[in-house]
Order: sequence, then C-alpha cells, then structure tokens
Amino acid sequence: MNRTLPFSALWGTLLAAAPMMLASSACDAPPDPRSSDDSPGAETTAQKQPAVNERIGGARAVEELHVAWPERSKIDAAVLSRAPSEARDAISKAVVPVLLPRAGVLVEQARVVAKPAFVAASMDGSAEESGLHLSISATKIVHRHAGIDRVAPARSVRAGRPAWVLQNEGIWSVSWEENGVSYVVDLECARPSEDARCATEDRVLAIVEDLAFVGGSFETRGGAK
Amino acid sequence: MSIRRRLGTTLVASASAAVSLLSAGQALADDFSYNPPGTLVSGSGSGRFDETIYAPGMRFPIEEAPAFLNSQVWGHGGGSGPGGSQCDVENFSYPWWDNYCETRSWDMPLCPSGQGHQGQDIRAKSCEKNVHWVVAAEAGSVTNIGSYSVYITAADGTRYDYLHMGSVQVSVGQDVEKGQHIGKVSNEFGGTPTTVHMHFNLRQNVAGVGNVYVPPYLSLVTSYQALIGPPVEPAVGSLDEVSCDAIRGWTQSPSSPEAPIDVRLYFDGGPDTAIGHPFLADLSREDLCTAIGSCEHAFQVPPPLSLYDGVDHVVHATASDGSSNAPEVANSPMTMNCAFELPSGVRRRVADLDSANAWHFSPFWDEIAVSDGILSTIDEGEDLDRTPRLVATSSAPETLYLVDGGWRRAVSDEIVGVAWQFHPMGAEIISDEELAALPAGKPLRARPIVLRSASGDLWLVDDAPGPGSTGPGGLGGSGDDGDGATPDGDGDDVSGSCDCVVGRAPASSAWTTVFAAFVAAGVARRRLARGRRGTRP
Ligand SMILES: [Zn+2]
Repeated sequence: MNRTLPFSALWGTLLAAAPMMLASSACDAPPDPRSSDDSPGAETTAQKQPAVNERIGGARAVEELHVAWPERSKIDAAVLSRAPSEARDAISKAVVPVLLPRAGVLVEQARVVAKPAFVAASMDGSAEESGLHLSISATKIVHRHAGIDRVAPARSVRAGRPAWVLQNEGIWSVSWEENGVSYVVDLECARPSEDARCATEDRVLAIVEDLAFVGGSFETRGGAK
Repeated sequence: MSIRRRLGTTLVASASAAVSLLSAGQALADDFSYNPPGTLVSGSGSGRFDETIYAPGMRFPIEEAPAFLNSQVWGHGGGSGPGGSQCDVENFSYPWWDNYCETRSWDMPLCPSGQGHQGQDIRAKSCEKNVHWVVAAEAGSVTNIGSYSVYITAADGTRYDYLHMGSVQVSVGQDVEKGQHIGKVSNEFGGTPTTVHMHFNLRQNVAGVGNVYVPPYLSLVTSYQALIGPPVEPAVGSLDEVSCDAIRGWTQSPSSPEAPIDVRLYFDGGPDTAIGHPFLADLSREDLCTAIGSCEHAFQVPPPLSLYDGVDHVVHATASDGSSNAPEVANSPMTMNCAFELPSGVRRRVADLDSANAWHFSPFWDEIAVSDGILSTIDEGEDLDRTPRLVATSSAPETLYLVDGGWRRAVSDEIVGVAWQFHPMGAEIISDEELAALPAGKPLRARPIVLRSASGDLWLVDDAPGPGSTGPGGLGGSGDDGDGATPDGDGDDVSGSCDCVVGRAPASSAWTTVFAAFVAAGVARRRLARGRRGTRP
C-alpha cells in the first residue's frame, strides 16, 4: 500500500529545497513531513532518495549548442520554393538549419515559427497523404540536469545518427542530433486507430529520411536577441 | 509550515476578503495529498523516482482546482482498471498518482524499463467534457496543432504538450501568455474518444540523453500547490552589477532564507521571450551575512562574450525558487555595453566542435566572432587538447588544476572555475606525488576567450606554455603554489610593449580588472561540503 504525501509535506520540502529539485542535502535538510499532523504515516521522497540531484553552483543548466551550418549550396531550392512566403521569411531567420520533407506533405501550407532557441514547422499531408499531420522542430538549447544518467539510443536515422523513436498517444516521434542541434519529427494521424500509416513506425521513419535542408539564418554567433 | 501560518496571519490581518479566499484555498490545500514521484498504481509498471522539477515556475495547466492526476488505463473506466465508470468518484479524489512510465509498448529513454507512458494524465474537477479550461503552463509559441494535440514551445526550447482537448482557442504561430486559455479538457483522440482527461507532456533536449519526454509529475505537484495554497512571499534579490567585468547579485527565498535559490538571467528580452539562463546562487558573500541574514546567496558570472559588440544589451534577472512566481530582482533590468578588446597571448586551435563541447565552450558565453585580420595579429600557440584534464588530490579535492601540455595550471578560485565550468566533481583525483611531478605552469585565465574565425574555426586565447609565477617544480609544503596571485596570467608575453594592434588590450587587461572586482566584491568560496557527491569520471 502506498503512503501519500499531504500538501503540507511537499510545501515544507519545497521551501527548504533548492529550486528545480526536491533533493535534500545534509546541509539543507527539509522539515520532516512525517511530523505533519494530517498524515502521520506519510513519508518523504527526499529521504528515500540519494542526493544525486544536487545542483552545482555556477553550472550552466541551460546551454547553447554549436550550430554546424551546412553549406549554402546544400539548400534544396525546389523544396524551399514551395514554402509560402511567410514560411520562407521565418526560415531565413531560423537559428538552426531547417529541414523539410521533399514529398508527402503540403510544404505549400507550412507554418514556421522561428524563435531565439528553436524553429518549428507544421504542415498537413498532401492530397495523397491526407489525414497526416507533421511537426518538425529543432533547438540549439540543451538542458543539463544533475542525476540524469547518460543513455544512448539503439536506433539510428539519416546515415547512422543515433535516434529515439518514441510515441505520444499514437503520435510517432523521432528525435536525433544533426548539424550540432536537436531535431524532432512528430507524425500524427487524424484517425490513429484506423490509419495504417500510424500503426507502425515505417511512415515516420521514411519522412525523416526524406528531409531536405532548406536554409536558415546561418547565424553562428551565440546570443538571445 | 510555519511559513504558512505566518503568511496566513498576515493575510487575515490585512483584508477580510482575503480571509474567505484563504479559507477556500486552505481547505483545498489541507485535502490535497499525492503519492511520491515514481509511485504508480500497483501492477501498472515501474515509475521513475525523480525529484527534479523540469519546469520550475510553471502554472498548473488546468485553470481551476481541484484537479486529479491519476491513470486513465488503471483507473475506473480504464481498460485495466477496477471497472465502473470513468466518472467514479475515486477518479476525482486525492491522492494523486504519478503515471509517467506506466506500462506501454513504446520506448521511453528515462523509464526504468526503457518503455512507458510519456506524460501525465490529468482529470479536471468533473468528468464533463469541454467544460474545464486548459491554460498555458508557460508562455511560449504555439508550434503545432494536430487533430488531438497542441504543442506550445517556451523560449528555452521546452515543449509543453496538451492532448485530447476540445474547443481549442489558439492557432499555430500564436504567442501565448502563461495562464492563457488554450482549450478545454475533453476526450478527443482522432475519432475514437478516450476518457475525459488532459494528457500533459514536457519535452526537453536533455544533455546525455537527447530530445525526450521528461517527468512532469513534480512540476505539476508544485504548480498545483501554488494554485491552491496560500499566497507565498515571493523570492527576492538584487542585480548589483552588470558591467564588462561581471554580472553579479544575489537571490533569496524569504520562505527558506538559508537555502540558495536560482537566479535566471535573460538578455535582450524578458522571461516570456528570451532564453532564461539559470544559475544556482550559492556563492558566499560577506556583506549578505548581515544584510539578508545568510551568506550563501550570491551569483557572479562573466558577461556573455558574444555580446561584446559595442551596443546596448538589456539584462533581466529573476529570483526563482521553483514556485510559480519568479519575480524580477531589484535593479533589474540593467544594461551592458561592452566592446571587445583582444587580450594578449597566443591563440590555440580548438580541434573541432566536439572538442569545444568537451571544454564546455559556449557560443553564447565564451565565444566571439573576429575577422581573419584580427586573428592574424595574434601568434599561434600549441593546439588545445581535445578534452580538458582536470585534476585534484584527495588531500585538497577542491583545489583544481588543469593539466595542459605537461604543466599543471591552477584554477585560481571558484569564480574562475565557474567561468570555465570546471568543478571538483569533474576532477580526476591523483596522488600528491603525481601532482608534484607536474611543473607549475601559468594559472588559468579568469575566463575562456574563444575566437571564432569567419570560416568557423575556434581559437582559445591563452598564455604561451611556460612556468607559473613560482616556476616549475615542486608544490612546496602547502600544496599551493601561489594560485590566485596572478589569475589572469596576462602580461607575461607582452612585456609592456605595445604592438599597436587595433583593439588589443594593454598588458593590464580587463581580466586583471575582473579579478580585482571579484576580490572587491568579497566573494568567497562556498562551503566545501557542497557538490562533493557523485562519482568521478
Ligand atoms: Zn496519457
């Protein structure tokens, strides 16, 4: 039988803990939630855990990656030219290299969001691929969390790049590193339970392999502007 | 808990209206309980025990309490549940249950089994659909809307996924504020309804793992607590200096005044639009001991070198204790306007981007683009090792040295260590004899300065290899060969002569000033006990 933590238990723990984690240290022991009158049997997670999550003072928990821009000559002009002007404008401002599929989706309707840390594009499937919806994003930010063990994916995409192939409520999701930054492709079916294209990973992997470089800002200087 | 009482008393005394609000909130707060993170419903898989709050300060994503975190599959009305209706009262009662990593057939890198549920299922106050508002947990941009998914990506790249909503109120490309309505809790699942709930994910690019779904449970617990609990006295702090030498100040949580909390620095934008750079503010500063009653709350970082471009850059700082309210600190924002002056020394080639990453050279903090003309004015020195070798001894584990070209180079103090992202936890422990056998070279400069050429090559500006201030040889009796006396190492190579290169700093460079500023600020080492956990590589 699981014991539970009352509201007041966490409150006390939180107030005593460093931000972003609840781990305690010998120096910063949180109040003992078991002393709470509304849950005499409650236990504290802080006590159960080794304090491996302790933050290191001065360490950068959010870091920018080095973007390795492909040559401008590698831009797939045919794919880029299909994108609407608003999307092309956003692509030209992207802080990371933008990848779009050559086939199967309506690049003509792509909506592209370019921000200081990331770029994201979304579009529906083409007429032959109706019922598909695709999201492609890339970020140059990496989050460093203490207590996370290094783990490498067993799969690979795009010429041997290690990749995670995940699912999100029926939405296939592939992530990998390329051009020094992190990419995610999500493929969602409008009717996932009936759609063979979302029954397996094959379709999303095919789309990932088909991605073409369509440009970006070619900005190499770091900074949040 | 004493804080709650104290704050409650203040509120009651201040306004009768607040009393009723407090009473309602207090009732919710007293009722609320939750299972620890990683504790799943029996038989539903192995959870992840993880105490990190991956989205500190987020807003709980359902507008109104109460809300209930529990399994859809193993709850009433679920395929593996005890039977009954999804509207069963037990589904709408405390305690909460984590269901990140609940049994699923797909890969999940952070789950103990390597597979599992990628987020957290949340029920609103009732099982009615399209009644209860879902709100943005964090400000950001709507980056995707599928048939049953909405993704909102925050300025720091964290993606917040909201699934199964109805009455979606936002569109792709729209910027939303924290707390803004984005849809209603429903059962949308592409034509085949699911139970009425909102599935919530957090997705981040995590160092050492990749771009994955991270545990949302404690972010939800803390944000819910902020929603239903009594008002909390906000964190405080001050931005004391933004100059070309340092960005420094302090933060503190009045609720827990002894515990160090984060400062978040933003450049050329506020929390809603710019990337937040969090640092744990735990440096000890003498003046804080009396001013705020606790010493270890200071932060001090070198300003981002990439912003040394001679134009104004606005620096915002917030004090973040993990609650939903991360207020801007006193004196924030401030403006920096710094021109880059090429320091003296030699340039040392960084092998490639992998090597730059191994050295933790940041494009934002440590690097600056220079023309080939500027680059050619500085002599080329030895190539930088592909990876740094940081060493210490068990007798003085906090005293760090970089082994560089056969020399041991002192990391003069913790401020220098912060600038280089060197920490005792990353040091290789060697014997005193091994250390003594390494000749003493010049101490590490106050911060890394990495030049990026037009072609993208990276060069570290450094001292030419050579003996340190006390010369090569033994450690002496103290094991400390004067590190800190000349932490910048500047001046040795220029010999006082001006080589008349435009923009070159004189021998008495800014980096000497940096160290002087550190000393003047009275910044001292943190207590040594901190950060000694974990294993060495
Ligand atoms: Zn779910």
